[in-house]
Amino acid sequence: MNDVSPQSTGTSSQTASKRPMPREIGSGVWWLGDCLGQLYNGKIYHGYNAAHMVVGTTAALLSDTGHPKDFLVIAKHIEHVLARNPGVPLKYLFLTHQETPHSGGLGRLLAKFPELEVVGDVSDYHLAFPQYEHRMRFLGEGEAVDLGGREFKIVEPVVRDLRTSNWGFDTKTRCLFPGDGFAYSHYHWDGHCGLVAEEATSLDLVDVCAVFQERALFWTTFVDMERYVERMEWQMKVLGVRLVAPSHGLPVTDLERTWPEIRKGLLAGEGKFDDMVKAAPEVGARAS
Amino acid sequence: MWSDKIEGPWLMEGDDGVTSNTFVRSFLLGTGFWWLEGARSDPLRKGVRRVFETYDIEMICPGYGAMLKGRELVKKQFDVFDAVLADLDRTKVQGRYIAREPARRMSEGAL
Repeated sequence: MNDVSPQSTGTSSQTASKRPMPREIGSGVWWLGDCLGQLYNGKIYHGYNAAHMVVGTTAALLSDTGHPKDFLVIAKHIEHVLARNPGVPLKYLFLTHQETPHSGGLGRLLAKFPELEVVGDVSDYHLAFPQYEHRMRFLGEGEAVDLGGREFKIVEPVVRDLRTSNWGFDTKTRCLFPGDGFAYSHYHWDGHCGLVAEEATSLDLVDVCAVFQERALFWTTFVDMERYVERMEWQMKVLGVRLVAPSHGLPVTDLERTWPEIRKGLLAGEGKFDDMVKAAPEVGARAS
Repeated sequence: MWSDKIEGPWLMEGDDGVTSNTFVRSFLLGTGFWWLEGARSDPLRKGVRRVFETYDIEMICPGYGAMLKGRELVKKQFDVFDAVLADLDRTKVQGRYIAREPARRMSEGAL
């Protein structure tokens, strides 16, 4: 059973975090959530299904809900952050996309926080929760919500899972919330849980990017990713990004140092699925 | 296959009157497969072909739309899908960064 106490040294039975969660990774930007173990190449890799909070002077926003299995952990983390910011309500929920690890806590959060409004591309959520349709508001790219002293802006989703994916951006810390855009695992066995990318010195980003390319972003192995990587670089330059808070990867706090390695990881995936197709003669065996 | 009537039909046999290369291409690029344009589709074609050749498929029950019944109709779906994937391959279409907007919205005539 998970230890859901905020600031615990390990938020799940799987996690041996050197740093307690939730963790403030930038001024008013909080990293919430827990790890999920994934078997890959005979090893257990850990990946986050994170949520993030951005806290202004008048309102707080939650970016993604995290994985439904982590709801109790994340709900405690939210309470922890709100307790540190008295008088600031959790007013907005932004979802990068509709997949369960990103939006699976939607109904429970809307029930728990009556003031909460879902903003962004809110396609289809009303089909699951028609009782909350009046609390779902479309915001397009370039539009923002005011949190007091900072804005949370909807920005172009360069690497996306779904037609309705969006990325977010905090104007105060210049933090990008790319959902699956900077998706990579980390090494639980090396104590990476709860660390930012620059603290996880033994992290091989080419190795850990591959886990998510195969499992979540398989399409990136069929396309010329150079074009997408160039667009990410263009976007980071235009927005002046200084901090990255991905859903699955460790937060990036020094882009100059870490981006070149992530870049390599994103480009290294081409052809990986080809090998799986070649290695699938067992399909015929199963059919017989 | 979509229908504007809740009662369907949701089970198609014979010619569905809709499936064509243009329709399938537009649907793929307008939904979750925007990235196919200029991608390497050959490994995908091999995988899809393997499914068709391995199993004696009489019916397709897709996640969305009508069920398609009968070997002829099933074969047509696979043939059209294969042709569309071949036409989207990077040897025929130059790969490029495809932004979310314009989102090839179906409401704007993508289909």
